[in-house]
Amino acid sequence: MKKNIEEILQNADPAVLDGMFDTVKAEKTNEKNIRNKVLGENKSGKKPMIWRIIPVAASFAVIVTACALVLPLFVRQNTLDPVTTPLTGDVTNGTSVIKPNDSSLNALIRLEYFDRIIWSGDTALAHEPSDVETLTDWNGIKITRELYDRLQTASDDDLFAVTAKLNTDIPDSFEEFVYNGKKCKEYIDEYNRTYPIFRALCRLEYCAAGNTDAFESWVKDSITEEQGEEFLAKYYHDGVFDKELINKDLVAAEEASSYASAAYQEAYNTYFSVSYVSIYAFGAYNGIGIYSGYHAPTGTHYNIMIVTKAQLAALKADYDKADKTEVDYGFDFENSYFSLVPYPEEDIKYMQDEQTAYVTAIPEDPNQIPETMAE
Amino acid sequence: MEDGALIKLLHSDKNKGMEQVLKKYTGFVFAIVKSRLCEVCDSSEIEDCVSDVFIRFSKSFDKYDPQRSSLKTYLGVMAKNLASNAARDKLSTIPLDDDGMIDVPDTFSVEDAAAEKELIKVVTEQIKLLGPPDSDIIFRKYYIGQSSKQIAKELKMSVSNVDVRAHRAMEKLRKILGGII
Repeated sequence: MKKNIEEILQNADPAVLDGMFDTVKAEKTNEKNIRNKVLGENKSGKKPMIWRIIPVAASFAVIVTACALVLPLFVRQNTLDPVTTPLTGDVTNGTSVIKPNDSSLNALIRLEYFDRIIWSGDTALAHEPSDVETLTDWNGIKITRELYDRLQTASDDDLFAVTAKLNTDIPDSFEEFVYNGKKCKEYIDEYNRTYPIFRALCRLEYCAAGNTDAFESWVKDSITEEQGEEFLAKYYHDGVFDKELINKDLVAAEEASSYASAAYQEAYNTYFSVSYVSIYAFGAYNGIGIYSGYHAPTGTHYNIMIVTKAQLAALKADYDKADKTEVDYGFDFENSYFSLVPYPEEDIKYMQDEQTAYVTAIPEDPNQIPETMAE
Repeated sequence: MEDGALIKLLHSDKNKGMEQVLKKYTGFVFAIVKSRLCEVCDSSEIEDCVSDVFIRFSKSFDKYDPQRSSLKTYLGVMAKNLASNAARDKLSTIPLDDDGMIDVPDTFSVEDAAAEKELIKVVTEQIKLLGPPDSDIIFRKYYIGQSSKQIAKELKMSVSNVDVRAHRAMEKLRKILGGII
């Protein structure tokens, strides 16, 4: 009998599944609508209709009044959009931020101007910016709404903690990215060619091992559909699976598929790390303070740029005109965005705890290598 | 607010308690429901289903036992079940992903409640034993119904890596379950 995992677990008690939802992240939604539906349902029937209409009408009146007062401000703000009146600034002549020798978060918090740094008001998502959907074009770069708003009221001396991030979806430019002489698209195509063969042979191996029942007919059908009748006929003839040939070809197919997968993965990692490294190199070259952070819960490395408004405004222009031999090009401005970083309190604490643990782990006998170091 | 305090608040003031539950878990429940319904329902239907989860919870939170599971798991299971029902209502047949199939011996009769319970336990234990990230991938892909792209995004992996790991983990599960059962 063939059963789907979902089918098997459909009557599972929450106690059995406890902990398995822990890593599922919340997504943004219209909480207000849902809240109104749920709480409205809870209260329904308890109040006369008039008492339900009055608050709604009052809220509506407040919203209309607020819109009337606030909308003109937004309109006015948008007419002053710096895209149409770009700021100019020479980063080398702007408020100079010392080029860091030590790029750790520890070095960052020791800076004398640390208290002047402006962080994101969003503390809920560690360093992950949450307002990606409200990106604004600003001096050739995309920035989040929060950063844009803070820049409007910034003075020349203000310092911003900013991070650059590629949009989560893999951009089209990824396919054109050349790594080891091949475009990423070629790596993807190679993987898409080899993996289905490996998968088909895995299924045949399963049948050849004596696991038949309903699975066997499904395997035959799916392989005929995906790879054609000839492919199946090569491994299944006279009502028998050619176990030896299946096993032999499976080894080769697994190798080819693993190789294609690893090559693709390498190209993928290189594409993303080039972006990271290039902005880092560029920042250091232009005297922008860039610090490395590590978000332990998600195992993610990130960077924090400490910039003035003038430095950020000139970033794209300076990047474009910079000497290519001195700057590691590759930062994908088109598909990246800049946002304020929330103060990384947890990451700093984690880093400090790690350091404490490391210090306390050093044994009295200097010849003895502590376990943490041996790793 | 911790789950224990939330439950106490629900018992003392249901509306305030529900407000806190909504504040803490709306995004999570939405993520589960959306995974299952995004291809068959529009956004307002997804929103309705999310609301139904909380409405049902508000009417039956007495049944929730904090000793048995976290509130997140309890709401997650409720969300997944209601979303599956909504999808079933929408389509006469739900296409099942063949890659998520396991051969189950006929000794596990659906009518036999004890055998079904045992099967659930064995399968869940084996999924957990795969360890992260494979256990996460299998649970998300074949139970919650998340796409490889969504899983890749949340687990910070490439889509191809998710697919390869899912495939290998399923092969492993089939072998292990065959051996035990």
